[in-house]
Amino acid sequence: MTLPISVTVNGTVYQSEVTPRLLLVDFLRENLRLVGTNAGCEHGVCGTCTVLLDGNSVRSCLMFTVQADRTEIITVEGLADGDELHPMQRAFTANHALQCGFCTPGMMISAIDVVGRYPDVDEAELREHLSGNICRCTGYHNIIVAVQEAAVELKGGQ
Amino acid sequence: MKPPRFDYERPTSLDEAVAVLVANEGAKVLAGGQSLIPMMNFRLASPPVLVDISRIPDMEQIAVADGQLSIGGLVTHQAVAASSEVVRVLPVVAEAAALIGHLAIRNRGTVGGSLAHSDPAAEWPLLCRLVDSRIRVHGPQGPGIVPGDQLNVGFLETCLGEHDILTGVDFTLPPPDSCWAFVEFTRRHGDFALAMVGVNLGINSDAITDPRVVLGALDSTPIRAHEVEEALVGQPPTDETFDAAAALAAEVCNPVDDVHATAGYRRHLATVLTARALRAARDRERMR
Repeated sequence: MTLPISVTVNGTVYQSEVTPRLLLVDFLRENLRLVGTNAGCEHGVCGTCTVLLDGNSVRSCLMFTVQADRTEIITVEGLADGDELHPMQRAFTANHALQCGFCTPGMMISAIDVVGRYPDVDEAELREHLSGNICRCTGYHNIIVAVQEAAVELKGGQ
Repeated sequence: MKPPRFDYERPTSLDEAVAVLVANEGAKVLAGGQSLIPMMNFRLASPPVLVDISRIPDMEQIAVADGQLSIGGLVTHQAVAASSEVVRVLPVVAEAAALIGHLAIRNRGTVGGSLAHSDPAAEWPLLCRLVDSRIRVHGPQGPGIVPGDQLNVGFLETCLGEHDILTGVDFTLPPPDSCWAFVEFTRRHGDFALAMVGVNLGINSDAITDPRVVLGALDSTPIRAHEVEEALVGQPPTDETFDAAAALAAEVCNPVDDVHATAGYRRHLATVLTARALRAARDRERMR
């Protein structure tokens, strides 16, 4: 069985025919070649597959592509505006908040959703929210500093 | 860790959805998929047909009317946690929903899905025993109601028929001066709880009235701790009362040893969390 879908990813509309069991993370990576989103644990606990779907952070490994029909998705590739990095990307760079970078796309997407909903989030709450994104390299400290810095800038822009 | 093949239907009415379930042996309902899809990715579940109910109308409302809070089966945990209505009329439900997993899980996972999945460590089955509730169901005979404290009957098992769809839950609002608390213990934030306790009670002239104590993640379903409640009725809301009542929680529950904790440790948690929840409920009242 294949089903037609129409999904907008980073502003571009894609029409496709997909098999129901194709996970969204694999559609993004394999079909659209948007390999910034990563597949880690494939059961929702590591966070590296996180994308924004209709403005909400979601685990793309816990969605079938057919469920994304008529939705708008932002992946890490969609954060920058041309050559201008998103404030979260600039803060991660400035604060050395990544090493291998494997967790980084999902981490930034999750952080964008958290600070978007809770612009005044304190450090303890921020650490709790981001505890669903696992990083093996950094020890999280620089990530937290970067997110707090980006939060200030994003709040100012609201 | 890819899911097996399945056929996919996306009906636009409850009767259509039920008809697909009836026509396909082994078909399963798909809503948010935050419990079903990991199981399929692990190949612990291989339903031949998935019935995606997410486009069926009238299942996404949160409404307060006639002393009831009604939540549609497709409402997400995050929508509940962030709902000013729920926070206003039944805050214990908003607080518990905010503890489910992480934001990305809460953005997709649904109230109906959690209730129908019936994991022992799920918050929603506990809430349906902590507060008087009715589960709305739609099956081959049409709509029906199940008392909230009868829905979850065992490990990953409800009393629903295999062609039933859980469409919503209605909570009877307790008195507005009820004291409540919801506590859970996890090794890491967002993990499945090793133990959970929900408490709702009244305090009238320094005596406890109408206490409800429900334990979660300590048996195959949530447990109404009647012995703990009996030790609280009419007593002053002191730490001594609470400690004596909480000690009974260890006897009431039926935990097992597993890779996360021993049964003995879970019994200890039952006592500690019950006392903590009772104190939190009382101290919340004192803040008013």
